[in-house]
Amino acid sequence: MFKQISRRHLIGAAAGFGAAGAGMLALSERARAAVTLTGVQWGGPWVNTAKTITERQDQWRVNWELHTGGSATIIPKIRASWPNVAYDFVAQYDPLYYIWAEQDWPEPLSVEEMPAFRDVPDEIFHRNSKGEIINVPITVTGTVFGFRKDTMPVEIRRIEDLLNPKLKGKVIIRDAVAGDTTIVQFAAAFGGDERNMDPGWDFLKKLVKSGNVGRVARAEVDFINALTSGECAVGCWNVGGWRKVAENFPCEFLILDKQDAPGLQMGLINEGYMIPKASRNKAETKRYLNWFINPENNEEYNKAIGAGPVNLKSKPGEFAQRFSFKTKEDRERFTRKFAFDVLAAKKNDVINRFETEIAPFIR
Amino acid sequence: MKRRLLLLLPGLLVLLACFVLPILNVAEKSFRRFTPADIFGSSRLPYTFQNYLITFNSVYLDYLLDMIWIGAVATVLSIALAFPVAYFVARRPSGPLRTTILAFLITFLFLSVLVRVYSLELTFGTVGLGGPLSSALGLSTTGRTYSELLVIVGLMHHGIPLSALLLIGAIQNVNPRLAEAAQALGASRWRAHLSITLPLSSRGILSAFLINYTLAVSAFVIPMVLGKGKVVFLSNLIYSRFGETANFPSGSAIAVELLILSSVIVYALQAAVSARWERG
Repeated sequence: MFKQISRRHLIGAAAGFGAAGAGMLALSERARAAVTLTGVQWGGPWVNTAKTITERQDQWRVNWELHTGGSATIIPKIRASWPNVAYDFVAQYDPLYYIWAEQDWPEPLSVEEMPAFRDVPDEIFHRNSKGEIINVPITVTGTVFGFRKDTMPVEIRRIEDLLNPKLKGKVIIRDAVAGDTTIVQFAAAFGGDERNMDPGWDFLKKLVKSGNVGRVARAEVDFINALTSGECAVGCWNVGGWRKVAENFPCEFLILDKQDAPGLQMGLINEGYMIPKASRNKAETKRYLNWFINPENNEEYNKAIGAGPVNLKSKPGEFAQRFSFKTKEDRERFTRKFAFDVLAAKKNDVINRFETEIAPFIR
Repeated sequence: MKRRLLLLLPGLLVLLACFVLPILNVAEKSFRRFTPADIFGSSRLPYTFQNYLITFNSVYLDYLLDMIWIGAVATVLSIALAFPVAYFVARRPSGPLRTTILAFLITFLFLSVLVRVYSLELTFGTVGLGGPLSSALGLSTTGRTYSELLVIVGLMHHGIPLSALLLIGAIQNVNPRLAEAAQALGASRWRAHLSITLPLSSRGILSAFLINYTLAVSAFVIPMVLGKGKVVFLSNLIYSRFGETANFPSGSAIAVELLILSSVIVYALQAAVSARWERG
């Protein structure tokens, strides 16, 4: 049977509905006051942290869209819809900055419009042919050679040590799509660089023929799984991936002096946002991103993803501190800045070469 | 007649819009020259055979052969293991065991492919039974042969329940009295089975083979996760071009080649078997 409805029930229900209505109204007022932007971001901790930070204010709301596949796949989508681009800002990294600049897509940025840039080192900015800043830097990270101390059967001090027969199946390498920087590091060990990658290719061929390559990783999760399960013990990966492994296992990183061990430096990578010229909310996007890279936000964002902040007033997380080089001299000795413009132009050739000259020998 | 054709029209229009046009679009893209960042604006780009010529390298033939043989082994093993299960279900009167097996097979089909591959990875990877199992087989868990085995098992994980469900109907259509008559005339059970039930189920076996094989050679997640970068199918190459480097012309060319190859295999097999059936 139905319950008897009393006057008290009715009053209670009316009060409840009233309160809910008032709450909804307040929320919709808040939503109406905020500007809604559309941003493209990487999934996982990248987007989750960005959401958490953004939710702390009322001025901007962001519709987050995730990169599907590699970060490069957004390029043809933008090209197809230009100038009716649906995005106000897009997360990209060094090699893609060059493609954006080539297409003349990025909105030029200035310190006047984005005062937070005053706290960002100048060398992190990318500029167009007119010398204008085109990226909103957000993260400094890098790729480093490292190994799990508890499963590594030999010591490594030079790139050639990766050929040691005791490392059978223990080396993890990147696949064709993201492997170009590792090949450059191999090349650097034997006198090559981005323009002359042949020494790197030769070494990679030797490495796969040695049988020491245990896995070809496509994504970060492959790297983390291979290292944490003990399947592989050594490789070159980004700091974020290493942080996950190092949470549970002792790891050592080989960031050695260029003079002692060429190729074993940390390869620098910058991540940031690009604002398309065709965005309908350029002014608000600039204001939002200026706020997003303030010292507190930049610190929180980068701690969560295990990378270094770009804002000089932010403190790097405990793990990222190992990879932060304070002086210019140290940066020159222990880090490598890739010529991503050269690598971007070679991308397709690198993939074809990997598929035809390397992959068939991986046993 | 006119009314019947009109009835066909909605279905044909959907097929045209959702199947034929996208394939034609992919085929057209496959002849365009690759220019970074200019995929969708490709009507301005010149036509070229380059995307196809690159894949005629012997290395790409190796990728193709790997895919063909791994798919074939997984399909044959799936059908061989599924047939007894299907026979048991088909010849058993309704009952709890039959229902349970059927429910089990159907549930297996609903299981996400990601759950399948990661469960296999956990069970037979380095941290699971992989270590002792690979030692027993004289293989290394990080070796290519072990990865190939895992991919075959991954393909069978889907292939066995699918084949069993497809074969149940085929076996049910074979009159059991024919085998009984053969036995009554002196044939052993095995001989009756091999000379009556199996040949009469062969059309069902062929259907199961074709469906399974098509799914196996177009598998993407299974070789990607269990192959560990050592076993690469054409679908993985297609994905890396479309999904990671935005080289749509090259991805389209490989996709067209895969479509042609799958069609040739299916039609050749069907033609060969049909010719045999017609000869009696």
